[in-house]
Amino acid sequence: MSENKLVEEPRVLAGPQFNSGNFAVAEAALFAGLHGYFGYPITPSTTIMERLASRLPYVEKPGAFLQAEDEIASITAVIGCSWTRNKAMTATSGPGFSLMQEGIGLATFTETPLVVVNVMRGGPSTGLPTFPAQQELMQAHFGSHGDYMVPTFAPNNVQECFDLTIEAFNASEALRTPVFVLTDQILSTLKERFLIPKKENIELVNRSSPDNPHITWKGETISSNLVLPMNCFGEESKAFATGLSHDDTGHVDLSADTYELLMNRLKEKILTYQHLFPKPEKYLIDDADTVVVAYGSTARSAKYAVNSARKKGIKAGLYRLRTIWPFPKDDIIQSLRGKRIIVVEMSSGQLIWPVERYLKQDVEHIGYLRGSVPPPSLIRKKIEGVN
Amino acid sequence: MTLPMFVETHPRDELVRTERLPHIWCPGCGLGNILSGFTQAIINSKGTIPIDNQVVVSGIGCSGRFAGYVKVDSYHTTHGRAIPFATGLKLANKKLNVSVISGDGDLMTIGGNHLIHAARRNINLNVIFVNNFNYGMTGGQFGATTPHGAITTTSAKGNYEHPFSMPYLMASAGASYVARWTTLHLKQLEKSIENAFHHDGFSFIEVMSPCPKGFGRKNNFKTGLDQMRYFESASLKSDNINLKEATASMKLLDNLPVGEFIIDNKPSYLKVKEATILNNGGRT
Ligand SMILES: Cc1ncc(C[n+]2csc(CCOP(=O)(O)OP(=O)(O)O)c2C)c(N)n1
Ligand code: SF4
Ligand SMILES: [Mg+2]
Repeated sequence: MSENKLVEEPRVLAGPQFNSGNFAVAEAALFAGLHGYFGYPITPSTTIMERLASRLPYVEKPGAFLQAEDEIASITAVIGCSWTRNKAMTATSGPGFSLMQEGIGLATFTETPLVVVNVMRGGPSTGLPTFPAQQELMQAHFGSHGDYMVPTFAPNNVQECFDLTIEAFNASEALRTPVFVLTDQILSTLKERFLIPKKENIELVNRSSPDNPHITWKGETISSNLVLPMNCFGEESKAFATGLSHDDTGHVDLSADTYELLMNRLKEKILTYQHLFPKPEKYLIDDADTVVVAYGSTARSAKYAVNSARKKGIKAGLYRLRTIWPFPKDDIIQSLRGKRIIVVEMSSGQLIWPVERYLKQDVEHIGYLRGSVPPPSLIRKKIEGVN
Repeated sequence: MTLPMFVETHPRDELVRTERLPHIWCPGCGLGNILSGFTQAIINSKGTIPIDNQVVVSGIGCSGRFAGYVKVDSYHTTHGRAIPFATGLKLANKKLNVSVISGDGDLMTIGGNHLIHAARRNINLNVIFVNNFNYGMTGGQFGATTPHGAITTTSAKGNYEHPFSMPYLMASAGASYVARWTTLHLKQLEKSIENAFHHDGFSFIEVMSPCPKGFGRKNNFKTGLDQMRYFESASLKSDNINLKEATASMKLLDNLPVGEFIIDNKPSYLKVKEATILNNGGRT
């Protein structure tokens, strides 16, 4: 399988592209060094899987591809692949994300680097398969049982679908954790120009090992006390991992001290390095009286509305989250406290929870449930105070 | 723990995480025998499969604790999901010899979908299916292999459901190596595991195992030994049996067919996949 004659397109495409968000996610994964994709078809994520099915086996250093029997198998096979010290991912949407929750818990507890892309559509249940929504923000945080934190990034254009997927792989490797990329149905099919940068211009991170415990990410050395070097399978280390409570060697230990220590370290490792995660976009907020808080496709409409309001002389701004979890609470408090806040989302109320919780003030809300982004005119009217 | 009196090391200590002992299994449980047979098969296969390439994946249950005791790379997944984990491992690193060892509840009842799909794909895994006819770990409820009529904590008047015949199911799903033994057949089991290691494709070995605590006591086998005695009197080597008849009623007058039922050299998942990709199959 090492024969290069099979390579129809190089592993990394070069230069400017005109294509969809799902295409960009798939190409970013290949750029990051993806080795295994395991998935189950579901709209609107499927084209990521289709692209990788036709790319992964045919590039230099071919990788593993499996169309699994369900999303439980997909996420678990991704975990298995990752334990061979290979980068692995899956992509899914609503119902599939629900089925993956138990596996996601296993990945957090066994500190398995992997990426899950959730292309959000309307829920609950089968909901609105072909229309966008933003109803899995809380599920990304609380979907699996037990306490845990999965870094969650949210792009809002095709370039960011590429860039944040790379960031997701880097964060997952650096911190030995699953990472989520939350996109939505609009981004999945929306075609835009985007640029695949030169390889040498992008940092790619690989997880630590007992031989190489001191990895750096964005110039920072990742503490091997917080992120334990990973023994993988096939490396003569008699590696072991379990979803039961365990000590630093990975072996079962249900004692109170060990469990508490483990839980605290898992939380600490994410919080300690959160400043390395994608930063929010702050658009015209310095002098703004009214700031719209949004993420993903919704923020595109919100920006349009802010611009229209500005033309009318209203001091409006946009605070767009690119990292959802851990929630950038210090930054949002510093940037927005005291201003009039309007949270806009394609959900009856999820993003508003952390915003209210941290700002501790009244927050206005547009919870748009019509299977499309809220139109700019609706947001502008809210900014203008016209209901 | 009291230390053994005369021996300092066991011949298979090399393959056991001795620092994890004593194990959690009950007296009379069959799981120790299986650990013994499995580790011996690894030792016997050393010449062709380096120990460092051996991997064990387990799910949840008493049988699921296997992964924590065997001293090779091993992983303890969630309930029912050992096979998908093993699939991801094997596809990502073909040099690994990946064995899945887990219970009937884990592999068949909750994880049955993965099991039949793995057999259908004829994927290169060795599944050692510990059938103790109940959910031992959670206190002895019935599952998909519990004999009809058996008493369990959720079938106090007798199980009114019907069990799968695992060899029959696996063969029809596409498994290319299918065998069945009891924990009494230690030598045969050992050999069978070696055969599975060297078989290119999906290998399935059912091992019927006593669980005095969860199953035996309620069903006329007071001790593990009683169930072993039953295995001795009832098992019948039947390599060429019609698998429809490969039942396991645990009833005194019924036979318990055991043997190597299927050895089929059809191409494995990895072989077919490689050939398809090399021919650029499906892309022209
Ligand atoms: C999703 C989920 N459901 C239920 C359980 C509880 N549970 C633990 S072990 C087990 C049954 C195990 O049965 P089996 O695989 O036959 O193993 P045995 O203990 O008999 O060896 C169950 C239901 C669990 N851990 N996870
Ligand atoms: S409950 Fe049954 S299967 Fe579990 S250790 Fe005890 S005897 Fe073995
Ligand atoms: Mg059982």
